Amino acid sequence: MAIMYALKSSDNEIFEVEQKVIEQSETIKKMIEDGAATGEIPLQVSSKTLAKVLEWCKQRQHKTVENENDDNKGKRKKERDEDDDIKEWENKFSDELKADKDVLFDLLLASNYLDLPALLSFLCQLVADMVAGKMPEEIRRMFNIENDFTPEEEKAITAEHGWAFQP
Amino acid sequence: MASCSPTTSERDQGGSCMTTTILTLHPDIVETHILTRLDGQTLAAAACTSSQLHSLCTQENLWREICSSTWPSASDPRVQTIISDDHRSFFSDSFPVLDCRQKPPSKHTRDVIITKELISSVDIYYQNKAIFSKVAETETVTGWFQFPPFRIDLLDLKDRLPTPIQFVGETDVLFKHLEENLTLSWIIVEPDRRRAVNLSSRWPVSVEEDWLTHELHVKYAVVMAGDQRWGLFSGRGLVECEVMVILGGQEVGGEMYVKEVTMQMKDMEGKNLCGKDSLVILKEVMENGKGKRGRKGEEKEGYEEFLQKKRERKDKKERIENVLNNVCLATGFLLFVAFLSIKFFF
Repeated sequence: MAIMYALKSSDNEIFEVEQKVIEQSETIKKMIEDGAATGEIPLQVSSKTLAKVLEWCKQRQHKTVENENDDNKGKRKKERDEDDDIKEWENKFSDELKADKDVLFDLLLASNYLDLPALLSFLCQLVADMVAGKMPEEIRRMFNIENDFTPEEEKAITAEHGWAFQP
Repeated sequence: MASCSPTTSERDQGGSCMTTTILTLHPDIVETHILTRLDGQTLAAAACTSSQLHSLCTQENLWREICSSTWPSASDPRVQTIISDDHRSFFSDSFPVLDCRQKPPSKHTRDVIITKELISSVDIYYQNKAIFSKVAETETVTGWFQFPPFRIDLLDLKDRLPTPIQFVGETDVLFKHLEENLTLSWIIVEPDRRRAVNLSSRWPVSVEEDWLTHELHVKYAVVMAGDQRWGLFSGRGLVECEVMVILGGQEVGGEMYVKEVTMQMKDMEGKNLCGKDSLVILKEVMENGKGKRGRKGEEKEGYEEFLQKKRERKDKKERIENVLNNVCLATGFLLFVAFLSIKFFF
């Protein structure tokens, strides 16, 4: 029987999770090792975001468990199929995040706070891909960035960097 | 800008930030995990969005990393000393594809020798992987450079540089493959004034087979406004800086090798410019040349326009020559008739 832990989100929702799943988070793993994780573990993460985090962790956990159970026979083919499955899952996951940037940024912060390096790097790559090749105005719109340059500053900066985006 | 605190633990419960901005993230995350994943063009665009991102995006270490991954040759100590700690300007000087065709000709100061030497920082890529990187110095002061045709050779006569390019019998297929996959960057650095410019079209403008040796001539070229002092008859209205990569090794299934990598400057008649004249044009380009975002195929189209202009110019010249010939003939004939009639009547 797997050991279960109860995680409490910032809006007081309880999530029951297997130890193996949640141990991917270095922060929580350390709490468990230190014996600080008795009863509910309170986290400064909203329930919506925490649900996403756990979705990611479960998917990763699923993958590692399956790999352990594989024997070598037919492993290659299976791995290939699995890679396709994971790709598909990741695409779906990132499409959802692209559509809702608030969740994306909350998730980024949460992955940093919970110390989930794989998720963090996945999300950062996602943000980088979203920005790649965009014009400053598009980047501003995409991330609600306020243009706080004075007209003179903006002129000077555009003159300096304009080669990158002017046709 | 949203006024929420940058760390999760300090944030209000339930994500009460009304506006999420990229900067509500921990600046550390943005700096170490996101900006490091951007390419130079995106980073430059991001620097123009807001003052906070500007200060994050203009950090030297980001640009140093981008420069060394874009051009392995730029890590050479000779280039590094010149760049010193301004990789960002080096990148914005060297990355854009040069666009100085439309530029009105300015007064060239022919006597000014701009620099003691030029440094070439060259990288050749096959399928986006660098297969050759070299830095070469060219002195520009002595008569050996100034008067003969301008030419920089990167390889010695006997050099055979192996490449992973597989030779294919069907020339069309091979040419197309090379046009799409063999790219080149040739940065010329002027050490004294620490300016740099990229004189390559990145993608080939033409691939041709030499009829005699059957070697492949892969050509990269940028066309620049030249010296228009001689007006209509000047062949220097536009000049091209030509980088030629010669590939040998025609064994089917075997790998090709690079035999020659050279740079030359040619005018519209295909005549080579001497070192001194080339320096004048290079100076102009470094000072006033504008860069643009390069895109595959664009330079080739531009180059074809240049070839078209060359042809038109040749036709025009021939027409003028024909007219002149006819005028000469007619004048001669008239003189002859006049001479005869004078003799006949008197």
